[in-house]
Parts: sequence; C-alpha cells; structure tokens
Amino acid sequence: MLDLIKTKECKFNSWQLLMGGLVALILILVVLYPLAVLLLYSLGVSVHSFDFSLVKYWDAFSDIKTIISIKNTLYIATGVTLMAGLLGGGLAWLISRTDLPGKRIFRVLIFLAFVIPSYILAVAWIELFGRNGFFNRIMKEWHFIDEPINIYSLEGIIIIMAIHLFPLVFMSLSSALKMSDISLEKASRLAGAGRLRTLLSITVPLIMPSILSIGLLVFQQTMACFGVAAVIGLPSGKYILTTRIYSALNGLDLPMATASSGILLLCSGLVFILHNISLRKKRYIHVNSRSQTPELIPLGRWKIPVVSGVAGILTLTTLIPLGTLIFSSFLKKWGMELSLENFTLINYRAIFMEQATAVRAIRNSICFGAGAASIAAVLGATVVFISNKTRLKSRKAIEFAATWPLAVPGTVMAVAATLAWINPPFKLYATPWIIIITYVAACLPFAVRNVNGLMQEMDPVLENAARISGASRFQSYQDITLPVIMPGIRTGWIMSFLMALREIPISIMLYSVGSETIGVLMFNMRSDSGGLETISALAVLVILLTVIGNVLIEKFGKSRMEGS
Amino acid sequence: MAYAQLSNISKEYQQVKVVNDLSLNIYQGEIFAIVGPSGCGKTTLLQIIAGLVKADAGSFTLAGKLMSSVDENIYINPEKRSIAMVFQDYALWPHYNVFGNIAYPLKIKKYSHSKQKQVVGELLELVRLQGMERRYPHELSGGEQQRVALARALALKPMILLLDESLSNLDANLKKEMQEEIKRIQRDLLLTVIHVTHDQQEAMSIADRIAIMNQGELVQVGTIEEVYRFPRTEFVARFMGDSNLICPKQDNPAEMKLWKMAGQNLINGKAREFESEQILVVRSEDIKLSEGSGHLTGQIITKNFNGSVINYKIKINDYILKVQAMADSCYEPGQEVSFSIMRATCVCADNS
Ligand SMILES: Nc1ncnc2c1ncn2[C@@H]1O[C@H](COP(=O)(O)OP(=O)(O)OP(=O)(O)O)[C@@H](O)[C@H]1O
Ligand SMILES: [Mg+2]
Repeated sequence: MLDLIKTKECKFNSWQLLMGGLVALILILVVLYPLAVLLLYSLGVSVHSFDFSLVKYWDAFSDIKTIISIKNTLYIATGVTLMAGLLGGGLAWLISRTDLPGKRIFRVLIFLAFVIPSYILAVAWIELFGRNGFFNRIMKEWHFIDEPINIYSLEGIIIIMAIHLFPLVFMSLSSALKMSDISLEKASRLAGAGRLRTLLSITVPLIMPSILSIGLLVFQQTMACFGVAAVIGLPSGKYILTTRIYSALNGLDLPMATASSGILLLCSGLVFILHNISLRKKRYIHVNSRSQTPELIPLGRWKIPVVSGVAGILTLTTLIPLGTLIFSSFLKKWGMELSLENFTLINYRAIFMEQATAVRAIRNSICFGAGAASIAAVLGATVVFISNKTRLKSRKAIEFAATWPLAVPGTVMAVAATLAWINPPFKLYATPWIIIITYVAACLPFAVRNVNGLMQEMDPVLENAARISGASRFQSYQDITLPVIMPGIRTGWIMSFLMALREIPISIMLYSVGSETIGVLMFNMRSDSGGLETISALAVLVILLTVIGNVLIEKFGKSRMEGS
Repeated sequence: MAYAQLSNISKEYQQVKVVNDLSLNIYQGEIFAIVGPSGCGKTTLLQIIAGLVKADAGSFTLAGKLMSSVDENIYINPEKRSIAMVFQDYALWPHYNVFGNIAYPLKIKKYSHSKQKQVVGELLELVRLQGMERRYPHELSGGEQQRVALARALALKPMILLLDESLSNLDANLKKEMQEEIKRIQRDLLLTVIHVTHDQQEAMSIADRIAIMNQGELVQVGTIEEVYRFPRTEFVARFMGDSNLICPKQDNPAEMKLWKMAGQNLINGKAREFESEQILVVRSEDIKLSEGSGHLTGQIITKNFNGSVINYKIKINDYILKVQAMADSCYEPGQEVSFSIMRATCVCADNS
C-alpha cells in the first residue's frame, strides 16, 4: 500500500513535468524561436555567419527614411491616442454619468464601430473621400468645393485609426466609471464643489489608472497598424515603421526589414510593458462592489446640442462607412452612375462562387483561422492550467511566453516567421503551415487571457468538493474545472478566429499561391484598383461574421457563475 | 474505542503553526462541535481530516483504518475516505443544476440513471427541496444552497459528515430549523458529525460534545455541560457564555472583595487555599440580586430586557459586574442593590 501511494504521487508529478515540458517546447518553437532568429539576424548572427554587430541598425538609422518613418509612427500613435481618448472618454462620461437620451442606440453604434476592421474602415473612407469618392463627387456636382478632400495623408490615418480604436477606450472607461466609488463624488458635491470641479478633481483622478492603461494600449495598437497605413499612407509616400518593414521585405532588403522590425519591436514592447504595469497598479484602486447607481447629471439646455453632436459623430464613424460599404457592394462597377439599373448581386456571387481566388481565400481564411484558433485554445488552456494548478518552477515563465505575442506587431511576426521557417530544418515557407503557425502565436494571448480570468476566479474548493464526492484528481479537473473555464475557451476561440478573418500583415507577407486569405485578397484587389465593389462585398461578409461572432461571445461566453 | 482518532496533528503555513500538535478522539454516532475564533485553524483541521490538506506531522485513523500518517508515509486520497463535507460557502458547482450536483457522487460510483434518480429524490425529500431539481445554484437562496450541499454530502452514506460553519450564513429562524434538521438526519442515519463553528450558542444547541480551539490547539474538550460549568481556562470561560472574570488585584479593593466572596462558593478546586494567582469565573446567571444593603452593594447602570431574562450591569466602585436575572425582577438603573454569588469556578490564566 505504501508503495502504491508513493507511485501515485510520483505519477502526478512526472505527468506535470511531461505536460510542462511539452508545452514549453511548443512555445519555444512557435513563439520564442522566430523572434530569437529575427533579433539575432538583425544583430548579425545567423546559421551562416557569426559576426555580432550593430551595423544593420547603424545603416537603418543613417537612412533618413527610417528616421522619418519612426517620427511618423510616433506622430500617428500620439494623434490617435489623443483623439480616441477624447472621443471615447467623452462618450463614456456622457453615457454613464449624464441623462443623455438615446443611450442604447449610441451604445449599439459604438459597438458597430468596434466591429468594423480598420482596413475595411479605410476602404469605406476611400470610397467616401477618395479622389472619386461619393462625398467628393456629390460635393463637386453641387459646386460646394473645387478641390476634392484628400485623405491620403498621415492625418487621414489618424482619423481612421482613432475611429477604429475609440470604442476600446469607451468600453474600458465606461466600466471604470461604473466601478469607481460614487460616494466619493457625492462627498465632493457635499463639500461644495461644483459638477465640473468634481469631474476634474475626483472622477478623472479616480479613473486615471484606467485612462493611462487604455491610452498605452491604443498607442501600441496604432504603432502596430498595417493595413490602414498601407492603403492610406503609401499612395502619398508616407511611411510608418510597419509599412517600411513591408516594403523593405518586398524589396528583399532583409537587413533593413529586420533592423526596422527590431526597432518597432522595441518600441511596442516598451509600451506593452508599461501597459502591463499600469494594469497591475489598477488592481489596488479602491472599487465599489455594491453597484450604486450614480445620480445622473442633467444636461439641461445643453441636451439638444449634445445629443445632435453625439448622433452626428457616431453617424460619421459608424453609419456612413457601413452604409457606403453596403451600398458599394451592390454596385456593378465602382465609379458608375448612382442609379438603380447599376445595382446587382454579382459581387456576392463572385466571391462565393465564380472568382476562384476569392472562393479559395474565404475557404483558406476559415480553415486557417479555425485550425489556429483550435490549436491556440488547447495550448492556451494547457498553459493556464500549468500556471495555476501545478507547482512547476517555470510555470510563470510559460504563461509569460504565451502572452508576450500581444506585444509583437503582426508585421514583425511575419518577418520573424519568414526568417525562422525559410531554412531547413523547419522549411515551412510557401506552405499554408507558416501562416497557421504564426496565427497560433498571435492567438495564444487571447486563449490564455480569457481562460486565466475564469481559472483565477474559480474557487479551488469546487475541486475539493469533487474529490470529497469520490472523484480522482483528473476526474475533478475534467468534470469541474474544464466546464467552469469552458466559456473562456470558447470566447478565446471566437476572438482568435475573428482575428484570423480580419488580419492582413501576417498573411500578406507569408502567403504563396494557393494560400491566399481574405486579407490578402482585399489588400491586393486594392492595388489592382477597380476592385472596390468586390472588396466591399467581402467587407460586408467579414463584418457580418464579426457581428455573429460577438453575439456568440455574448451568449455563450458568459459563465453561469455570473448569474443569469 | 474512538471512531475517529487524530494524533499529534500539526500543520504549518509559512512558518505559522495553524494546527499545533493536536490530538482528538471522536465516538461513533455523536455530534461533535469544534468552536473557536476566526482564523484559529478550524477549516484547516477539517481539511486534514478530509484529506484535502496534508498534515506536516501526526496521524489520523477512521474506523480502525489508518487514513494518513506522516511517520509511516501513508496517505489515502480524499475520494477513498468516505468522508463527506459541507463546505464553508457550500461549493456547489455552478455548471450543474441541483440534480447534477447531488447526483455527481453517484455518477462517480457508476449508479444507473434510474437509481440516481431514486436516491436524489429521497435526498431532496430529506432536505425538503422537492421539485427544485432543475434549478441552478445561482437561482437558489442561501438556505436552499446549503441544503443542496447537505444533500450532496449525504448522497453516498458517508461514515463521517464534516460541517464547516455551514449554518453561519442563515438567518436565525432558518438556522434553528436547519439545526433541527441536521439532528434529525443524524439520528435517522446514525451519522457521526463534526460541526465546526465560531458561534458557541450554535454549538451548544446542536452538539453532544464540544472542543474549544484557539491558535491551532484544543484548549478543552468535553460534554457541553462540563465545558460550560467547568471551563479550564480564562479563554474558555470568556468564549462560553456571559461570565465575570475576577482577579485578585490588590489595587482594586472592590474586585478583591468580590474575589474573596466568590472564593467561598467555589465548586471546583479546593475552597480552602485558592492562592493569589487564581482567576475566578462567575456566570452572570449565578448571581442573585436583592434590595437593600448587604455585604456588598453596587449601582445598576444598564438594564437590558431580553425576553426571558434581564441583563444588568452593576458598578461596584471600579468593577462592572454582569448579572442575569429573571424577567420578573424589577430594578431600575441608578438603584442600589446588594447581591450574593451562588457559584464560582476557578480557571487558569491564559498567559501562564
Ligand atoms: N492555503 C493557505 N496558505 C496560507 N495560509 C493559510 C492557508 N489556509 C489557511 N491559512 C491560514 O491559516 C490560518 C487558519 O485558517 P483556517 O481557514 O483554518 O481558519 P478558520 O478557523 O477556519 O477561520 P474562519 O472561522 O474564519 O473560517 C489563517 O490564519 C489562514 O490565514
Ligand atoms: Mg473556516
């Protein structure tokens, strides 16, 4: 009997070790190895040569174009952060603290803005404000303007990215406002401070940690943006780091591509670390657990102007782009007269049936996305399990490795994957696998984060209750732990899948004939020009799938613990 | 022969002894209460008994079978011990409904579905929750959740049932009802129950025997009456019921006088030479009030009507004496009364 018990304990320990080792190996291969190859290559170290030097970085920095692209990157990131912050923060305050009418509709509009992928938003804006755009055409026809509005500029990128990202700010600050202790504000009012004074000296400082952390996130996301920067910036020769990396890689200038990737990774990593620190700080803020309802501030005579302002802004950010896309998707040919006989369903038939590349791209995106999301879900859940339920020494390192890809822009991942998987022993270049593996790396953080929250919230007593009821350790994991974290796994899967449907930089830099994705298709059609009507049809499809995905998350991603 | 036997159990968390060299015998078919202040290690002790936490030292025997022993390196997993437990906050599984929760232990034991249904039906009847099979835990009130947890614990007819402050979240009426229910079930099934609580009143109304726990050690074990009448230490006396603790302080003549008075009615120890260090305990109900002047008098400062009895606080110079009197006594605050002490016990000081 004595031996039996000892072997059981050993069995669990060795099983832990085996699982930990396996997961660590996969993470090293999928996440760490490509990045290591990239960084080493940029420093002059590769399979063929070992001469450590900063010469690639030196060359990059002595090229004025690099300096300009860094400047441009910081410029748009700052601009987007400010604009999205003001827009999202203002709306959050208006909707959660004032008696603004129509809140439900505004929320839906903001959610819809969140659902439109940034590249597609850029396409919509081109359809509106491009040289031959609806807006410019109408304006010219009515002789309001002589020169068309030009959106092919850095400011154009800022506006589009800000519209794309402000819903994030809105959601984060809304929940911060909801959780912050209302009684502190009431105390300030009782102490004689006016509404504005209270807002500035109590409300804003209380949610400052949230403002800071969401600001950093927006900053980092903007630095990583590729599609918008390419489609808006490139026609007018405005480069940011991501597009610079892309064209360097296209021009087979590997030293420049890797050095620029190194620079972008450094900036992005830095901001990501700051963001994580700010998140950790946030936990110590006193929050109000009993949800007190705030006393809504009456807008009074400002009501009409504020409502029309908000409605106007949200129409511009959401309704007009959506309308434009839907409208264009039914046009026979982009640029044709806006009349009834030019309406057709031909674009939809094309992407679903006729155009072979389009059909293939949709199929590929769905297959790669579903495959990568599934692999990431299993891997991510295992990582969370290891970091919470085992006593392995390296468990926190494993969790960190799995969430680190959040800090890596897709462009950098693609360059890293190119370098890592082009040579034997891992010759995956020009196969679909290179895209799938890179997707897995990019999706892992979603899988880990969504499950981690639930796992940490879960009371270990629930497992103990199963043990007491006669379940073995493994059985209790299977019957209790897994179902409790299942909503997180599902949410992570859907988010990963949507990421794959919407992303551009990874597949555009890694695809080969036969492994095109929706992103590749849209990006290339744009350069062929004249494909706007087909892109619009694709865009409508992607948006539809995204809405469905988010509704599914809302429906099945909730755990029962949160109540009905 | 003890049914469950704990010998020299110890457990440390971060160098703090949460359970300290604790030994205890529990007999078959009794309700045994463990009471102690929050954080004294009650939950930890129960978890050691259940096998959810491994002790650092000591052994545990149940029904003649060694369940765990650090010296002999034996450790039976919790699922093999046939011990049931109702957890402090119930630990109902949120993704199973009431039926799923109660049937889980049966499912593990591979009962047929019809058998499961039958057993769950019986259990629901036992805890008076018929017709709630389809509800999920978040759709139940605290009291209902607690009864589901109880039903789940009883599903496999355990040898021993552990209750971890399982009644503390209930309102007074429901608590009383559940106490009755547990007693009834315990008698019906001839269960052995270990009931942990920090509420001595609750322990007294449910248990046959009781142990007072403090900082990982059992201070006193005995029947309710023993522990109530003859507390061994100052801590136990304070913890059980309303008592006056009287020390022989030379600088407080009133207390000194009281001490001497109480010493004449000592029911344990020897009345003769209780030395200067002894602390005496006088229960508030063991003091009799009378009007007029006597050997010792004091002034009533508060009066608290409590239904069946009245609680007075009486000031004797610098000493406040708590007295419980019949509901028909009629003294008012400000009034001078004299009193006599019927009964006193001597206890050990805690810090000796
Ligand atoms: N897993 C653990 N790790 C570290 N310390 C622990 C752990 N579990 C309990 N403790 C500590 O051990 C002490 C005793 O805890 P225990 O839960 O047994 O108390 P308790 O008597 O049940 O208290 P309560 O009446 O509040 O439930 C506490 O100080 C607690 O902080
Ligand atoms: Mg406890």
